[in-house]
Amino acid sequence: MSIDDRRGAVGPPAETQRPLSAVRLFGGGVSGHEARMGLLLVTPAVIFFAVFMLYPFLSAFWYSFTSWDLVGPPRFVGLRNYVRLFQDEDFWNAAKVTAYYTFGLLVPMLPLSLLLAMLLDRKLRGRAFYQGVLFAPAVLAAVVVSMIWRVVYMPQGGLYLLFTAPFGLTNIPWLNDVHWAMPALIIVGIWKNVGYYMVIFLAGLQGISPTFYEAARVDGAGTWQQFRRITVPLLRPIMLFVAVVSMTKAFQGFTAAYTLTGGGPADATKVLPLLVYENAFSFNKMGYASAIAVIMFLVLLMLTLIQFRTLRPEV
Amino acid sequence: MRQRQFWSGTLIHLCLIVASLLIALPLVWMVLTALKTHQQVFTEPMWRIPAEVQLGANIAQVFKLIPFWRYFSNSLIVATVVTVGGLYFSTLAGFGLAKYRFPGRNLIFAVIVATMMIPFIVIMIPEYIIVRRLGWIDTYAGLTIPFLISSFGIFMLRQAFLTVSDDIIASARIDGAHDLRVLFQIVVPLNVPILVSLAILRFLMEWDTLMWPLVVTNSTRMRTLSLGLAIMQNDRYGADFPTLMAAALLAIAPVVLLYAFLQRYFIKSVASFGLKE
Repeated sequence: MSIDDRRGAVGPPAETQRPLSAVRLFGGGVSGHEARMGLLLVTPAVIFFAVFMLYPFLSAFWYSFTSWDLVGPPRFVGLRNYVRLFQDEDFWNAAKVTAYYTFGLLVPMLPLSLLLAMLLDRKLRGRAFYQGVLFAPAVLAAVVVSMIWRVVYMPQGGLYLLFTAPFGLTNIPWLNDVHWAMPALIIVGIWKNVGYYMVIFLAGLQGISPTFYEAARVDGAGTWQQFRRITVPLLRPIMLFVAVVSMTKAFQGFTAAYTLTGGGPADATKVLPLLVYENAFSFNKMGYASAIAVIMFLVLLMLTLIQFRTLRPEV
Repeated sequence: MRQRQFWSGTLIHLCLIVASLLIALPLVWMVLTALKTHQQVFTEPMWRIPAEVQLGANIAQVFKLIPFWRYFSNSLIVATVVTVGGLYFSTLAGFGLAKYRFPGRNLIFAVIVATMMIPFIVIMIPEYIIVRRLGWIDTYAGLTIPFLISSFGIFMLRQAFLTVSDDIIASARIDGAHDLRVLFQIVVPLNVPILVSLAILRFLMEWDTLMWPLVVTNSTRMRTLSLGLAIMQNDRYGADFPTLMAAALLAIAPVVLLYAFLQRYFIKSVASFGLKE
């Protein structure tokens, strides 16, 4: 029996307060069919979300209150993981390293993305070409990007010498020095993502009607004033979007640290996701690792809320 | 006035050329390194193409060191299954949420939107435990099924389907088309661009992902390309730069080819994703 055959089988009561569109869509009074069909359509997604999103999400909190090495059942230990966490130097180090990476990446990159977008937001010969080149690293797998940068960062004979040798800087141990390792990862992050956010900014800029700028010019506003008074306020929703997305991604950044430095040297690049991974899958401390992950979630939630507060479009 | 415009135009081009060069240089460097022998990386002048190009030998070395095609096809299988399967179920759910009324609809939609806020790192450990209980460690099921449906996809498709006029759907129904036919013959064809955008984004994301394959596989034959290459560079081959670059070249060749032809769509998919909020 097809879904359609069942339609007429339901004898629905008179439907007076149903909105017109629904009545027109499904013929007067087939609410039984409409409801069942709607439920049928969303059922796979609902089951999926229950099993692979909500249940894991709630379990993460539960595991964070347990001690569990995957042998036997988890043992409830109350807040012990959290207490230990706040006394754990490795955790505080990872928190600092993550903050360094996140802000070290976003603070130079996002203005750069916006600047490039503004340069491209006009009639320009070669525009598609520039855009194509600048966006290209975004389509490469992060692991491959790490491989490429390994060769850029070769202390001897690496591409970086092109920029540092004129200043007498050679033999820089990019990936093996406590002070160089994080800047090295940040440069990789900027290279990979600057074009990605540029494209999003550019889409936003092109949504701003040129008449605003024309009117401002007639009133004698300079470039800076146009930027302050037109571009920034009208771009706010996009800025909020970019800020939230880029921070969420950078905060969870794992691949570059895992592949290029392995968290070293001396934990100088051991970001929080790496710490979670290590505790869970190298030391089998599922409870402790879950506690770190839960803290990460709460911090990210807080940061996102702050971003919504500060960047919310002014009405 | 005109002269000022000329100078500002030149300046803009200059900035963009410098930026493009900075982005392109590491890629050129990758190709150059893949042409050299390990020795030549350190002895030859930086920009000289070696007299005897070593690319063939370096690629042969890649195939000797790692089961490259196995990794590659694993990635292809995983990314394709997640993209196509995910899109299919997201389409069904998006349609249901946009065009049907049923009890609990708003709650379901709200929960789906809320799960967009859950970072992967939080659910990773429980997800691993579920997959272990199901016996899916080191299987394609373990690699794909937990990521089949994305809340983002459902959200975007629901928004897109809302804009399909009810009249079109109603007239199709009067002509006797049943629900799934309405969806796949009328609603879906009207929304091809958004579906293509979502597919591109999803595919790139899955092609890229490292952490989950790292957690959920343990045999060499189940590694995805990202994982295989990550392990290769952290292995003793990490310092064999020409081989590494030959592998990188092989890995990005298909993506770069696709990008060269479909650049517009790649960029559009990212741009639209920003605009729809």
